[in-house]
Amino acid sequence: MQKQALTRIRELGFPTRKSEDWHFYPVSKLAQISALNALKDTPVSSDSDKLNEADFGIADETDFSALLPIALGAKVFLKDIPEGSIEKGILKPRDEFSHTVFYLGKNAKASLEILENKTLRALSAERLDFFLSEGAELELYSTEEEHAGEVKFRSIRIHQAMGSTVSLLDLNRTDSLCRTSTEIFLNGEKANAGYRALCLVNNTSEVHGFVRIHHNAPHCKSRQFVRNLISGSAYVSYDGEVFVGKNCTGTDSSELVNTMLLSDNAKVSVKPILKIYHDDVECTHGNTCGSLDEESVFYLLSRGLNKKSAEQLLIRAFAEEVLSEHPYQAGQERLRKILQKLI
Amino acid sequence: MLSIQNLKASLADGTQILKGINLDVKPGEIHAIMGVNGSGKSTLAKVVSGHPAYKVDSGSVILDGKDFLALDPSERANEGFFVSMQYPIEIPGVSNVEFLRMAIDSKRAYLKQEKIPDEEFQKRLDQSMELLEMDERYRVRGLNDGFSGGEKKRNEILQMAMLLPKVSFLDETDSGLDIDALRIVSNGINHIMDNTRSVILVTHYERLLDYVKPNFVHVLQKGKIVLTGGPELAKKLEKEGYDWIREEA
Repeated sequence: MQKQALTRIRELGFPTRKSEDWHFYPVSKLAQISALNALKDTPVSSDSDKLNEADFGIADETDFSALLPIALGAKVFLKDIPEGSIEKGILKPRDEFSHTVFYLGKNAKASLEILENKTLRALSAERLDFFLSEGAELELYSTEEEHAGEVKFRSIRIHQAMGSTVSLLDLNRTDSLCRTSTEIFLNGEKANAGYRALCLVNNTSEVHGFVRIHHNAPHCKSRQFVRNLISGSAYVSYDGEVFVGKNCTGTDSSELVNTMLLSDNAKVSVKPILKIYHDDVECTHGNTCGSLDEESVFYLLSRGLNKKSAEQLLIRAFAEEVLSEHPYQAGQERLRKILQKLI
Repeated sequence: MLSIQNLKASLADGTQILKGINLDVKPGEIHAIMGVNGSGKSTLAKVVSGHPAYKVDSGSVILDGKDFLALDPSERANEGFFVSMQYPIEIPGVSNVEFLRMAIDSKRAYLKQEKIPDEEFQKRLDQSMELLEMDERYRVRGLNDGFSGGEKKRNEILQMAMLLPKVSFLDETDSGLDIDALRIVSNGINHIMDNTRSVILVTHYERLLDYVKPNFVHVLQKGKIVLTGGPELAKKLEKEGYDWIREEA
């Protein structure tokens, strides 16, 4: 599989300013990273894993960052959750390049937290693949650390069979350059996917969210809900696409991005994309951007709260809505605890 | 006592809205302010509460000997001034109860008191909610989140009941209320009132004053109080409108 990934990366080449999917990303920084420049000479290790290459869609993969860990020979952590089992766990990559693969059997349930390695690295890239069988349920939540000066890639690929459910929740408070690429394939009827993210960034950090949700079967449901709180000179971009294939009747998808710019130099770019090839669908998207509402601040002041408390309360309320929409308690509680310390 | 003397205030563009308001409100008194749209009633509430959209040109506002205009909005609130907004804002994500506790504790911190004990808070909340016939849902719902116009007004009076201000300025609290809600909200106001507190009611309709009996009724016109009378003045205004005052003026 490494050989295939290397071949694919060489076919694709490095992302450039002209690459549509990397439009918001400072691609010039990639050229300065030695590990990436060494890609052309990377030796292929003896690939002894039992993975079925076709499952990973390497030949069709268009995202450079999703190929990176495989191409750089990341060791694979493989886990099978048998039919009907329940699993709770923590995913923590040991190396700068990692590849995690989960197979969830029929009606299996997993609640997983992605933790970051606390070691500061110039470049890190991780890839996580999940294959959900019929009726399986996956809760996946993550909280980025506040490392400064890193270039980070996280790629998540999720393949869902009939009636399976996925809920992603991410709190990103990085102080680095971070790109998260998430692709969800709703391949079975009535599969349901929720992607919820909260970016709480400051200083000169950059967070680039790239999401693709493929409705490949009828009566599937997807939700993207992202809220950004951006301070300092930080920059957040969100590129979210919903694809609805032919004959995907009863599709229900929504995408909402709300941003609060908390300083003059904070910046956001949002690109919602809908590609719909069927008539009987309901697909919505929305995007708002603003600062703290002065009337709301005044209302709280008029009730005796001081300015700092009033602003913090409004920021916390803004963030809280993302958490409260996440349908699982584990992720909700973990992120709420962190938020309480931050705000 | 609240004393407003020759208060003049303008919008940022220089348009003067209040052109010399004089009003003395003593503890135990209820004052009603009536007037046509645009006469300055809501502006008066906002200026006294310290809304940043208005600039005070001249005059004074004194509450119990303190220069109110030198205080910021939160200090004014913590000194005992409460304004019930005409359009209360919604803050999803913060529960009503959490917000009430924060507001009470802010006031107590300002007065250098300990945080409100749980038992005292719960007791006051239970009593206030019962008084305003609010069900349990209101505790956990986000602050005014998805509330109807009438529910928001009722929630404003709940805040008043919890904060127990010295002076409450209720800006069109009766608008958006059905007959039952008007009765409930009025009961709430009457219950909170005692001889240490005072209420200023802004209203367009005399019907609120059937429930909350004012000691004085003032007519505001073009940024000035042009007429003051007793409850009978409200009845006359309801019957005859404001034209006769304009003619007299």
